[in-house]
Amino acid sequence: MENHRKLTRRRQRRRIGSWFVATFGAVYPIAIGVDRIGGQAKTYMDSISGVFGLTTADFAAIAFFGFIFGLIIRRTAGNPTFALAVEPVLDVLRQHAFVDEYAQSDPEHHHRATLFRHCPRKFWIWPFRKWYSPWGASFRGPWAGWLIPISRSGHTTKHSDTTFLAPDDADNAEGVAGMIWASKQDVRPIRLVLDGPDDAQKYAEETNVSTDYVLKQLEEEKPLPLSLSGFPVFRGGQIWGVVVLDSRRTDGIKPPDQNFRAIRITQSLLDKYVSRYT
Amino acid sequence: MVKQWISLNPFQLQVDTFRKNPDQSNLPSPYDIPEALRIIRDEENTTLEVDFSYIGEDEEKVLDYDRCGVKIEVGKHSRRIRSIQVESQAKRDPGLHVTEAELLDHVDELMAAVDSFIEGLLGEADTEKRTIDNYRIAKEALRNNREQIATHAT
Repeated sequence: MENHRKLTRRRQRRRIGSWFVATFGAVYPIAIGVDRIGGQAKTYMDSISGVFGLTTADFAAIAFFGFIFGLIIRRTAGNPTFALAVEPVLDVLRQHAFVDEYAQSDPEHHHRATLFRHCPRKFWIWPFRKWYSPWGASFRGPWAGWLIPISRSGHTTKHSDTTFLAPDDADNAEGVAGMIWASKQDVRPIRLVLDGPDDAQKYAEETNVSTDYVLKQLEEEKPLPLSLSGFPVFRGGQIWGVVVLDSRRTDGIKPPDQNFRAIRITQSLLDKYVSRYT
Repeated sequence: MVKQWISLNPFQLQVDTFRKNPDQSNLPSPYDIPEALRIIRDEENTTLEVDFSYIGEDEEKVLDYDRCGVKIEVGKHSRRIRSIQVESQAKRDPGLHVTEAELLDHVDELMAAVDSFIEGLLGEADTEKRTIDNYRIAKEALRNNREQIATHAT
């Protein structure tokens, strides 16, 4: 999940990566072409080589690997502009998608809008789905397809690592996020009851998660949402991720007819941001 | 000759679909519901085309149906109906059934073409429910604006 500290770090990494790409990208062609250029350029290069005790071939190799290293750094840092642009959209969606009375009176994290991105591979999964197979039953690997949270409304609960399975065999997709991913359509608000372990099985069935997961959350006294809804996010006509709305109140999410406009505007904005920044 | 866009009521289109399937947990997303349509007629009056406009960035169109002088183009990835094109009687297949050919001049024929398109897709095992819903919504949009389109079409 993005937060400002993480974003600042990502921006720094991106800047460092850009520096490597620019510097070594400029040095590399000079290092490999200096013999042909000759003249003053060769004199300078020879004197620099003398200082460091390296040949021009060594310089070329260093520049090449420096350039590749910079590219990797840039690539892994992602584009922080996207996260910065998306957060206000989710904040506004939160204001409109939940019942006004609750959205204003309850703490922010009781009613949230979370953007999940579909990643074809995810190596670190926590908590493990099975002790013998972290990525779940049937010995699914990290390449099974996952929905990972990348942005959330409000200023709290930003450190969530909740990841949902979204595999090619869509019947096994997990959670409401997985349901949206599989159908590529909106999921109407689901109203849930969870007063104790007796309700766990029904809750799990309705939310498309395992009963063990619900029981574990109850055991650890972690709060679970009592209403859930969501919609898909597209890029160039292909599904890119999903937005899940969750509320701690059974009637916290407005019915679809009242949320149509908010969802439409959010989808339109996210489509543009996703196409431009990712 | 390009006519102005006719604004649709996307929310109403979603409600209509929802009413027909009240027990379903999924609803067509606003992304899949057209927000406007327009009628284009070429100057020689040989072709009539209905274009649909949706939210989201433009995507490539592919021809997915071409029968009896009716062509349907859909989005390459989203499978949203982007345009339905009807050729004039003179350009159509001469072997076409008379009553069917007569109907082609009217909006009913456009809807019949969408129906035929849907039926073809229902027979395919890998067709997504979303795709079928998208085409039903486009047909609903035609039905709701039947008179306006017919005025331009005749």
